[in-house]
Amino acid sequence: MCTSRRELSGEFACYFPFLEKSARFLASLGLTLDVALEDKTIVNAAVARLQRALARQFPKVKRCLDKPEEEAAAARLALYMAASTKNVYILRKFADFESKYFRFLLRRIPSVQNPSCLVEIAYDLSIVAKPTAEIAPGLINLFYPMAVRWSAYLKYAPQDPHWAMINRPVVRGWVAVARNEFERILEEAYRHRMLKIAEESELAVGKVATVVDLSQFKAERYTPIEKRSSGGSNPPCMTAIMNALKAGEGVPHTARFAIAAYLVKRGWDVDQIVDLFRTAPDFNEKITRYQVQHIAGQAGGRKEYSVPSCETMATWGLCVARCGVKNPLQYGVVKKSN
Amino acid sequence: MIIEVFFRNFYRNSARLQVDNVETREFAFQTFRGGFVRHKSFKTVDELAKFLVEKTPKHLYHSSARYRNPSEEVMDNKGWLGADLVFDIDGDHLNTEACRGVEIITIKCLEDAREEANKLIDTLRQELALEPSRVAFSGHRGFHIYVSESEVLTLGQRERRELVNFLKAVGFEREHFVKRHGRRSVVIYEEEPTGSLLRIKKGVEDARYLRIEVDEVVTQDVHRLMRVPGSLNGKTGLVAVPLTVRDLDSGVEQILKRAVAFDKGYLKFLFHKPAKGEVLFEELEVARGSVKTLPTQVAVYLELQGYGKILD
Repeated sequence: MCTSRRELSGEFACYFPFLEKSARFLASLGLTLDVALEDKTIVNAAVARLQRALARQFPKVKRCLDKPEEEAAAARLALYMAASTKNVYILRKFADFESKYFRFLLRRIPSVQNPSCLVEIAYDLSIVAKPTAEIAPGLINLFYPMAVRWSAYLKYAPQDPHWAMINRPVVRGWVAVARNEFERILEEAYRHRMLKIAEESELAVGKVATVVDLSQFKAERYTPIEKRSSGGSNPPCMTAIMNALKAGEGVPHTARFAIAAYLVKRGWDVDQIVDLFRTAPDFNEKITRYQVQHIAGQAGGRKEYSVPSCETMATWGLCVARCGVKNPLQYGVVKKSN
Repeated sequence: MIIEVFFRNFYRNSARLQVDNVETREFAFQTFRGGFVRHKSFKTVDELAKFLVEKTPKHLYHSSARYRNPSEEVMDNKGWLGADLVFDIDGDHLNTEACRGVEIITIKCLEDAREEANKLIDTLRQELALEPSRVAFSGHRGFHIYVSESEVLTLGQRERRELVNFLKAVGFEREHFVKRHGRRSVVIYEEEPTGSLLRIKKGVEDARYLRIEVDEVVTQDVHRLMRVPGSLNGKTGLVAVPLTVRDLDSGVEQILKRAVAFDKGYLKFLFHKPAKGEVLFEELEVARGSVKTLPTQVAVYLELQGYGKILD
């Protein structure tokens, strides 16, 4: 499927509709936005795709075998629809879920399993990659078979201590990673690609808004919560995490843990904290509730977790100011006593 | 103020500024009267040089960033085009015997900073395949290293912060490199020490090899103002000398000698506080209230450091 950049198939475009080569393929078939908008079947398929994503359900893979071109065009139209709603949560949720689906397919479609095909997909996402064997044969290659440029790694690797670049072999500009890590990096790049397409397609997005009834798409909006605690102001690091969550941005797991542990200590109850996460693009109520309960000591080991120290916050890249305290919890106390 | 006159003469007769992409950079300067002026821009280095003779700043900075409209005062309207990746290695951030608690610049502490700069350059080359585009003595306690390759220019603050973490080995966990290979357990950096694995192998044995002490605030800032290479440092009167990577192979004495801008004559100096130690190759042990005749560069250095006043 990936052997030549010139050879494109409807099936490939259907599996990975937001790659550039897929867009070119659809354009070569004359499947432009105007054509798609006039085709009721495609419009309906796009509405279904967006609604399934918002309900956290993968698209039906079978459609890529039956009507691949139509489904590929519908996927792209669904992105324009998500952007047309002007609701950032809908757009981010769609991009987040579609990129997870992208990774799911990367693992399951037999014809994209060889490294050169993965490299080609990475290239399409503006990530320069190569098999590690080309830069470091031997044991490194065995455990870390794929390599990406360090700048791409820093851009797309999750912001999490586990992913710290110092914990990967870095050789002459290349970061060697395990296969599943490589897929995770591509997933993030794919998500960025989708958001970029939406941002750069103002005209198309405007056109969709005039044709499709957008009121049928719903997603949670952030509603301010009355805090139970009367305690003083929040430290800048926690404020930054809350703002990112309110803006519907994807925040790293470390930040989610930190804010949950912090708010538990500040007297928020589990429901209030779960509500704060509701606007996260990958929000899943069941998982979030369990994790917050776990942090609050109401589930699992029944141990209430402490708030990470400022030093740990800095290590995780979450410290945004020098407040003169050792733990974010002290921030309010010091301010109050002042 | 005599030092201002010295600075003006320097900018008129001897300055060799090293600035690339001058038309896209924001310039800023601090005056001898304490004001700070930002958002200046110049079309050419000659235009900048002329300005320096007219205004004679105490400190001169340029942005690591390149802008479409560098003189625009509102940051959001400047049109950020990218920023050099910059590293500041400062002796007073080094936890070495020679640098701990150092007040006056010392050759030994500067030597440690030079070694750290070399370590950084080796790491940039071996691990990241990056080549410094400019290297400069800061004119005080350390070195500035610039990388301007296209791969780095558009890195955001988050990526730069992660890069600093990588250089400082923040979050390093040995267990990531311990793998099962058949029945045996292998430690990757022991088996194949190449690139960062070599640093890790050495660093596990001696922690000094693992971390590179760059100033994280400087590197992660995508709008940073950096001292202009070739300009005078208003805290010392020394030139922020542009260097080659090879210059860092030889001792700092050579670099310091090149950094001395005012090497002619002697000046009388009144000490407002005691001074003890070596200052620019001159051994001093002076009590408060003493008047001493000193080489011009030493007198200028001491006045800018707040030790007293030039009397001439």
